[in-house]
Amino acid sequence: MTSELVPVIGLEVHCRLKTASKLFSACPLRPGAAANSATDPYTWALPGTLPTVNAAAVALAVRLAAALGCEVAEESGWDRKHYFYPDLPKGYQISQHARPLARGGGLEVPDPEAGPWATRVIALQRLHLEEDAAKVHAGALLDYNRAGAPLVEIVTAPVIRSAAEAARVLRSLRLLLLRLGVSDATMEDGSLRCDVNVSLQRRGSSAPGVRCEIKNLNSFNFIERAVTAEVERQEALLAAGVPVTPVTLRYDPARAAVQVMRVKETELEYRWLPEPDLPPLRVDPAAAAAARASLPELPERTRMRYCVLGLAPIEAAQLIDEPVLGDWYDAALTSLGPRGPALARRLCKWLTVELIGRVPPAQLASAKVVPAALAELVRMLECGEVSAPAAKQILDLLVEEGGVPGGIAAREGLLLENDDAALTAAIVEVLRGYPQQVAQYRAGKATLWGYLIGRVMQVLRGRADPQRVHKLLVVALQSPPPGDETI
Amino acid sequence: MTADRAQIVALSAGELADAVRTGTIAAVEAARAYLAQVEDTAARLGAYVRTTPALALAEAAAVDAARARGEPLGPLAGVPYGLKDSLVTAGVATAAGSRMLAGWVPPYDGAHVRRMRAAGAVLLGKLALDEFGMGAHGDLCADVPEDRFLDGAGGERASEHARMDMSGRTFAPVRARSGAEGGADAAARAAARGGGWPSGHPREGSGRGEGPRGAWSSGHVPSDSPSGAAGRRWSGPSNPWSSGHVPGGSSSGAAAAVAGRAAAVAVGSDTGGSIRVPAARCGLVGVRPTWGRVSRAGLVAFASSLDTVGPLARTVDDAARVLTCLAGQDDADSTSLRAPVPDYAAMAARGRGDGLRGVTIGVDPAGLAGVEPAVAEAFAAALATLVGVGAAIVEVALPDPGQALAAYAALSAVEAVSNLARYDGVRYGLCVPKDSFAATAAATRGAGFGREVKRRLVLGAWLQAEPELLARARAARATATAGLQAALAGCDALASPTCAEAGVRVREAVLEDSLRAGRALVDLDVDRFTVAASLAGLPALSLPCGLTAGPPALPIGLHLVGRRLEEGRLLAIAAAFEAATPWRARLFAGPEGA
Repeated sequence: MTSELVPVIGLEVHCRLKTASKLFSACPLRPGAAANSATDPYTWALPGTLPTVNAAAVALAVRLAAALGCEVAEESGWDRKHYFYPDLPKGYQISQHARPLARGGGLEVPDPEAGPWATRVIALQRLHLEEDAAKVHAGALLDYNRAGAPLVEIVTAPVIRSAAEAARVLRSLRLLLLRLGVSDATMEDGSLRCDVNVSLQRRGSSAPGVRCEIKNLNSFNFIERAVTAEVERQEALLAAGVPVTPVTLRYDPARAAVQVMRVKETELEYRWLPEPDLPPLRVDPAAAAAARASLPELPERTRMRYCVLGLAPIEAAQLIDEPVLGDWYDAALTSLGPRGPALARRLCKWLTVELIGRVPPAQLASAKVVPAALAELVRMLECGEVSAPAAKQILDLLVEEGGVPGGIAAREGLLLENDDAALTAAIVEVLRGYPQQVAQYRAGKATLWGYLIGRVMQVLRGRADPQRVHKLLVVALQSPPPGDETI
Repeated sequence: MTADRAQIVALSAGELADAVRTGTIAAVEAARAYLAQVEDTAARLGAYVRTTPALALAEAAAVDAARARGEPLGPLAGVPYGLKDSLVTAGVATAAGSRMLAGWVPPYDGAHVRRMRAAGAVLLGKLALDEFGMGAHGDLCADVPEDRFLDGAGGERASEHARMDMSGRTFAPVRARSGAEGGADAAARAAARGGGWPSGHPREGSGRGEGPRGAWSSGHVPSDSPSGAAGRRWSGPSNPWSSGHVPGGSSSGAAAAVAGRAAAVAVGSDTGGSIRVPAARCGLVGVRPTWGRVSRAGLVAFASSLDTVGPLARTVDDAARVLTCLAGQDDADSTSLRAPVPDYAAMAARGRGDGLRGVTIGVDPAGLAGVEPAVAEAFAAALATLVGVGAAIVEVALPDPGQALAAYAALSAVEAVSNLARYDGVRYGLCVPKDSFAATAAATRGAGFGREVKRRLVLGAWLQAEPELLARARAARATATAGLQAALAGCDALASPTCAEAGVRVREAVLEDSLRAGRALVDLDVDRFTVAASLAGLPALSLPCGLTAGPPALPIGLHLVGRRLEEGRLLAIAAAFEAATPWRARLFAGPEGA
């Protein structure tokens, strides 16, 4: 019976916008500042203070809405959401309830079950602005630094099909936020927070199940585990013939279980009131269009580009999931110009295997080796200007001292010699040391080929391409070894 | 060169500013005259909850110094004024008539004190009001005996805060350490706030008087003032025309002070009629501007979509001058309007000079049912006067006042619940500590709010859970707004009496508790002529149009409503009317001269 039930999951994600000041006052946002030092009369809700909208926060929210393909309302409204708790200085939170900043749109997320490069679009219901609450510390102490910080809330449609997909949606959203530069999007510091709505629906039925909400999930792993636990809890209830009641839950990581916090609030209990202290929020359609026009390449488009460049799915994922790595890669790729596509795969390997083996991603930005240097090294390798072992040696030095690979290669004598006359002279010089063996070889003792090329390579190792040495040695000895078809 | 006190307080604000500008009267002289007047009338009027004599003298001296340096002076140079105590003043306790905020010293200046100071006006002190502006008569002010409150319960309160902070059992803000780790910026701000920041709590021990600026003396009205003192049933300011009649609310102290010569002008606030009703009762000109014309930044909020700030003055010209200074866009209030501010005094002067030819004034005869005969007579005479100076009277149908009053009662209560939610005892103001946040908030609110405020909060909280009733109230507001707009499409202004009755006896106002519910309905009806303009956000004013036969002779108010942002036209009509009637001279002379 329970096998007929499928989970229907929706997310409500809050992300803190990266602005210099709060949503409704000029009070600076100073992460890490001493408790209650980043406050002003409005933050404390002192009598007589009024909200004024931070245009920078609106601009970031519009940029995000544009990236998500939402329809940005020319005019949206502000509403007061009431609840009595000391983290809410005014006794209400200014949010956008009846008329959100943006509606619709969707978030493209990977769909690995459908194929390595497959994606699906998670439909969004709305995107709106609201102010953050204060932080409650142990001992019932309050820090109002965070109160009034600008948040964007994004509500997905209830279309997510599994716990794993819920975590993927949040990961994709995080990458998008980082790519857009609108939020630090870090779950650890609360700049990205997630509530999950879970219900069970009979397969093929359109009747919605009873929805329960898991509040304040603060890590990707917890989301997956919490949703799994909640699906199991609801399945167990229904299997026992107990109806699911709408409750608000909390995830307890220690027990890997969800706990009922309270019976779910209805919208009525928030006593929504149109905000009389603020005029409607107007967004010029031209500004929304400009936001769309100025979007960077979004992560899923990047993934497709990597696919076309011939990267393996896992390589593309590695670059996309670690934005520092992806940005570094793209910078290196760009510096290769038209040669880029041909070298893309090799460049990826050299970045994700060789360079990351030497420099952790977090330190890439401040490393001495720059993207163009790695790209040039890969190009030299590809063009036969350096050998693979020499390239690794050069990379060590690039990491240590920076600079350009050509210069290091020349200084260290690691460039492959590609002047045939010079190489021939060097070969002849070596052969002069072994007149007896040369004479014997020329007389037909073919087994001496190995001995002779060994002597030559010993001298020329690292400076010349073995293939080319081979050819020139044949010429120098005026006859190839038996069975050699290279001439 | 020197003028005596009687001469100074007999001048209108405009005349006084002109005298200060020409050097006939020094601003400090004017301030001293009014401060003496304030002190002498304190016992009789009870208009001020807090006076600021040191500040007044400092502001006046600054005006005189600017004049001595040859700098241009502001339009209200040297004019001593009072501010309703719901208008926030940095360093001067602001309590909005509530025990909840007793002793709260704001760390910032509201738009009104800033603009008045910029215009050269001199702050005499803070004026009594019905708690949070909720009252029709002026008797619901917890603030009148505030000094007693602070000396007694206030001390208790300070120690409660300390206990609460130490116990750690209930919610309290983490104390911000100012200075070193906050950087120079924070240190400077902490210094500017006198260390009372960030909680805005008054400094323990001496929360009053010495504000952040240090130099201000408390200058309290003597605490044995009969107004509001223990043993007296009437707990609000007195009507200077009759101690047996209410001054009208909620800007009761503002009206009492200006009519009683204890301020040249005053700044009040009007939600449903709180400037116009006391102006009518005390024989003054009171202007409620278009919603958004004057910033609300620094007004302790009651019902935000209805709250406005405006002047109370003895003459139309004075009201126009103050309004010119107060009006205009303010970055601190997003709902303030960007429309340019005209010179209202000049517009009033044109009305006075040119008369009202071509001006049509709408009257709804049906609305006059139930009006006291003396008021009806005065109103009829006022219409005749208006016709006499060239105006045409047209009949209009105005929105049903019953519907408008019900909508007002509902919507203002719902907004009040929201605006007053911040008073939870955690960050500032009164705190009655208990073991949990919910218990602390409940105990604090129980002790801090007066009965009328609680009544409205209960009503508002109940309505918040009744969306259908709220929708009906909003629809009634829209109907009233459309009704006024339709009426104003056919005329330049709407005229009515300001109040249906010429006076309300004090003992009628102060009913026994058991009759309070009945009183609420009766009180609501006081606003029957004023509330529609409030709902519609339209400008309105009250000006004197007569006196009852008496004794005691009581002023009667004429109410005018205009189109959006047409305060200037209303003031022109008022000025023409004022010039054509004896009321300005008779009422200006005040109760003693009448």
